[in-house]
Amino acid sequence: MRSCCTILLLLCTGLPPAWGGDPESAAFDLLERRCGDCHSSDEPERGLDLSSPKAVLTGSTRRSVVVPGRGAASLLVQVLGRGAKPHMPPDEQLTEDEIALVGRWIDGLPADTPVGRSRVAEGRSHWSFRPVARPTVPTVTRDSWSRTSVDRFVLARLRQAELQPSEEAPRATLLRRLSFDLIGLPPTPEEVVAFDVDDRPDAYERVVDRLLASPHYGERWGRHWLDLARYADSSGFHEDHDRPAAWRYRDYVVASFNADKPYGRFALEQLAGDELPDATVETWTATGFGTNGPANETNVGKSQRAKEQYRLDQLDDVIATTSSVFLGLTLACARCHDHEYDPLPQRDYYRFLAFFDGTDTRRLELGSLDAAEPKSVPFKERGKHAYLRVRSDVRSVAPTTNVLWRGDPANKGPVVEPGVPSVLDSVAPFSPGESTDRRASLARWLVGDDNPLFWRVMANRVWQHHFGRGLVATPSNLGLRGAEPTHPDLLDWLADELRRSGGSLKSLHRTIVTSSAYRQSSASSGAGPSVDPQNLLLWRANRRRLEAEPLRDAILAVSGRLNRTMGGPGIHPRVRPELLVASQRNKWPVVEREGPEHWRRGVYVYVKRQLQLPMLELFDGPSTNHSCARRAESLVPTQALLLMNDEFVRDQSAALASRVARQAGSDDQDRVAWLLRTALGRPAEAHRIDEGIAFLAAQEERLRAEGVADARHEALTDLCQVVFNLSEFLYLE
Amino acid sequence: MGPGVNTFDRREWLARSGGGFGGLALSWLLARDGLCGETAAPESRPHFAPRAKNVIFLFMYGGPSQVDTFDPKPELDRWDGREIPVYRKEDAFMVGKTKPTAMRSPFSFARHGECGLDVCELYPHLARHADDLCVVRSMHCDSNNHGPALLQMQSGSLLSGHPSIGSWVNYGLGSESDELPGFVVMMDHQGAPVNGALNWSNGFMPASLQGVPLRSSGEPIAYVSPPKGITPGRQKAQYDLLARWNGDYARRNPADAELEARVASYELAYRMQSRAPEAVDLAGETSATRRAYGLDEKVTSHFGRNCLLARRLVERGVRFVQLYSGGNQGPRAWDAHDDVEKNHRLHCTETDRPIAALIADLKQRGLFDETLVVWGGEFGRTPNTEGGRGRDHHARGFTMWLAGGGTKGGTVHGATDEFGYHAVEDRVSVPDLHATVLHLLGLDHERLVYRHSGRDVRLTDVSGRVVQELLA
Repeated sequence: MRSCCTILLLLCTGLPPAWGGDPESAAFDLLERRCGDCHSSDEPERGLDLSSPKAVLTGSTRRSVVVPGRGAASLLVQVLGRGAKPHMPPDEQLTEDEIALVGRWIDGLPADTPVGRSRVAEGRSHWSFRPVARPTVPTVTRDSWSRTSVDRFVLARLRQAELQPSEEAPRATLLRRLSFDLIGLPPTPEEVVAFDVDDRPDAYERVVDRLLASPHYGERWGRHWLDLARYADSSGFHEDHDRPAAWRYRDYVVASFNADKPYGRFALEQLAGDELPDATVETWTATGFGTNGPANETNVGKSQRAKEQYRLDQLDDVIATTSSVFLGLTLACARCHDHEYDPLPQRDYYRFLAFFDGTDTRRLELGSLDAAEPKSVPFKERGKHAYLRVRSDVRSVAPTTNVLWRGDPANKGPVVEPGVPSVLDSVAPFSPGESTDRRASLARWLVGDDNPLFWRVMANRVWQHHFGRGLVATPSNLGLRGAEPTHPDLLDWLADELRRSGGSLKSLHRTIVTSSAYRQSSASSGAGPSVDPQNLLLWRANRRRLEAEPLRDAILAVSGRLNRTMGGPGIHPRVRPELLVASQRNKWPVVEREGPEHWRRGVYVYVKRQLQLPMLELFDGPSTNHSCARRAESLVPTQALLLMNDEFVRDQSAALASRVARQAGSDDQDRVAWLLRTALGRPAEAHRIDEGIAFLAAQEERLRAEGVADARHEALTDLCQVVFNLSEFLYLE
Repeated sequence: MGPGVNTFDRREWLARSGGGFGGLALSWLLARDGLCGETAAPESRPHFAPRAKNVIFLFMYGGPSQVDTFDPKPELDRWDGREIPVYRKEDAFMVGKTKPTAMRSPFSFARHGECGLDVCELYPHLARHADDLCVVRSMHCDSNNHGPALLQMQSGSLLSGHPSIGSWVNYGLGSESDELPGFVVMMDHQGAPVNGALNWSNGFMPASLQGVPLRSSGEPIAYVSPPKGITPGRQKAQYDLLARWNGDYARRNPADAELEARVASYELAYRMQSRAPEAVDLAGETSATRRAYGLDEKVTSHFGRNCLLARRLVERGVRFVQLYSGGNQGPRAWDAHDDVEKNHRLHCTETDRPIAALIADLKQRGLFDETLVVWGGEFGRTPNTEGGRGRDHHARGFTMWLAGGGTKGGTVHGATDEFGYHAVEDRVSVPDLHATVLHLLGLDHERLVYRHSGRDVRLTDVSGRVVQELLA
């Protein structure tokens, strides 16, 4: 068997000219003799083929075994050593001289010799790495349904599956859907009536424009971005320090969405707002994107090594966030080894790191922005709100960046220059800028028209928040292990629309929500449930639960207590004193009674890493430790307990009861009808009204018997709380 | 009987969903995620026959000293006040204060049980259970800093954002209880450990898997009591109307299973409201039991109460109970920087009788074999002194013990060097410990994965080895 292999090998490879008496031929002669039984065939053990330099450099299926230029540091040499675990060859021991042969060959390799199983070349054919082309809009025969190009893409897929789209949802449902989707608040009863009686042909489009122009739009969509940017007002870890300047980044995001800032510019500011020639307080604030992650600077240990490890961990957070948010790539997986699944060699990680190496969280005094060249200073979190948390360069000269084998700062590999993932270099070539301009050069490449990921990723995110699921269901992972797009052409068409519009998100919203596909009913009917139960092909609208903030906002809006003040430092609504014990440092203040200052929108609630506001946490608020691209939608009894027993809900129920009494008069019929219409955004069914009246009567009687003062009002409060617990209140149809 | 029982067949629904509310919520969630392509299809679990069903993790927060509890080192007496050769500067946390000189243990040790286990004098009650303990003297971890070390012990990662082991266990096995959360945390009366709620975080898993703090007085679980002044009957009327209206809505939209699950969740919430107070009500416990746990003595009453509650929770099907001894920081935890004698005398006394009573009680009720008890902190303490009479944080070698739940009682596994500094023999890492705990619960740590950021994440990440020597 062995000789067969050897002969085959010789036949196949021949003897390369270099195999004379040099270290390489000596080493490979040895490896062939001592290891060839298991490690040179069509199916070598662990995928490790030792029959040629190229194969050795490729390594095993799991890892590379050679550190070019450093024999002693290479796994291939280490496993041969006496007493090594694992040890090779099993049950045999190579002599020191033999081992040295292999070591010498590796020592002689240039340090930048590529190693590992590079999948870059084959990876280029993966759908998301190919250029965004503008697909032809399908033509569908007998189509009286489609309003926009979006619809034609959707309908073409439905027809293939012999499915029909659903009917258009009732107007009241559409208005509620649009309101929550675009501004995160329910429509007012007046808006419901106005839309209902508006028979102009463009009544719907007018509503869309009104909502997109509302300042609440930025609060809603800014919050989606804050999820991605792992935004928080405290540092997390042991100390959970207050970050009294963090909210400026939050307000920057809200304002940027409201201004419909071109998406490319938005990205540019966040990655390199300090390096821009036209840097302003706004662009400096934007760099908070790179400093939002958890930090532990006061507690990292005192050794140089610990500090360097910490610095690299912080940069890893920046790389993980930047690559997943803007590129839909899990580049952080390539920190210690080549990416297991995607064509991202370890080298690409460190080339990307080089853009940010030398930056740190810094402090910029607001006053210093008046100076010709604002300078940030080393970070200290003290004083109140007159400074910015920024990510900027520590020195004017960028440091040298090395590959770190196994991610270990003590195990330096070759020096790398800043560069973008190599799988994209033919589609979207990168040209490095000045060394003082590294992040700006990255950002300019990122937002370029050629970059296929930047536009696809964002178009998909916008779609996801309108339909409850992206066309790619893994919005921050468009790599090989990400989900396949359900409508690849539609995704490209939307990405191209976004690109052509100069990155206007508001026009993308308009394009999406004016479609017939968006306006479908969520009712389940026809063949859809059996053919496509998951509704991947969009034969109906998805029913979606309100996220934590819109739920809280909706309760406040309906109770009439919502305080619409925008911006500024985070608010601290009441948390029960016994729950405060779970946060050890930087304590949440004790609030006895909430007032208008607490009844602001959820986006303004102070985000404390050690203690989230329980209501936001229980309804799946984002983990602020990593970028969150899609919130969970869990369903647990504690959510019911909170809505039934928490003081906030109870207080707002009482406020709503007073509002009902004020607005609807004293007749129970009018009260129940008004309550249901206001809370659910549509007229209530007659039998519901009857049941509500019956509840009021029975509850009032019970309360009188219990000796409760003002039993009638208390009964109405109880009914209001029931309404806040209705599935129809929590779900969007 | 709770509200809404007649609106649909709850039993059938639960059966369909894999039993238990954890199962219900989770299976619904997995179905959702599955359609989104980020989560691998759920496989049947446990992976093999479990030895234990539940875990009680007695967390000695602050870091108990191995050489003063279960790992006696006579060499320290000989070297007392002299520089020990194994000391390494980089292991010190209190740089500048910690000295390389040995400090003898202020406590005496004696051998106990048939196995002859060395136990320090501060554990007279616990020592009677020597033959039940499986002591690991060769633990080591990767940080000598409370925050990261706690996170590693809880979640396997030094960084926050990863699910804690209680979340993993409930993810793997589902909750056994319909009325109580599957992962319950009880803090010390002095306050929370550092990292606060991050220690029992669900990380990137659904919120249903997070640890739920339970208090021994007042409202046991947040939000299980009706608002002030609202009688049960009054609230029952609300629950009933909700059952009718939400049930009706769910029936009209049968394709959206979450609507039906939501009706069930209100029914279960209602049951939790009535059951949780019962679970923490100790009135039914005999005076002998209360005395055994030390409830009638101030020093032991707090931890004793929590230990007794832990037994009650396990009886009621709570999978994972975590109890902290030591809260806040400094001397209020096991963090004996200033005076190890004073500190450990207090904390050992606070916990000795309660832990002994817990073991005896579990045995008497036939629960010991199916309940894994874990004892330990986030790290140990230096055998060398921190200047005065204190000991610094130490990650290189420390002691933990396991008992019950399929572990081999009366065992000592591994060893530190003659000074109790480095774990040198049969070293056990935190992932090894986690792998072993999961194994005892019938879970293969390499197969228990959760898809996150495009990767199948494990509690043990890329390492972890089941320590066979600890298994009965």
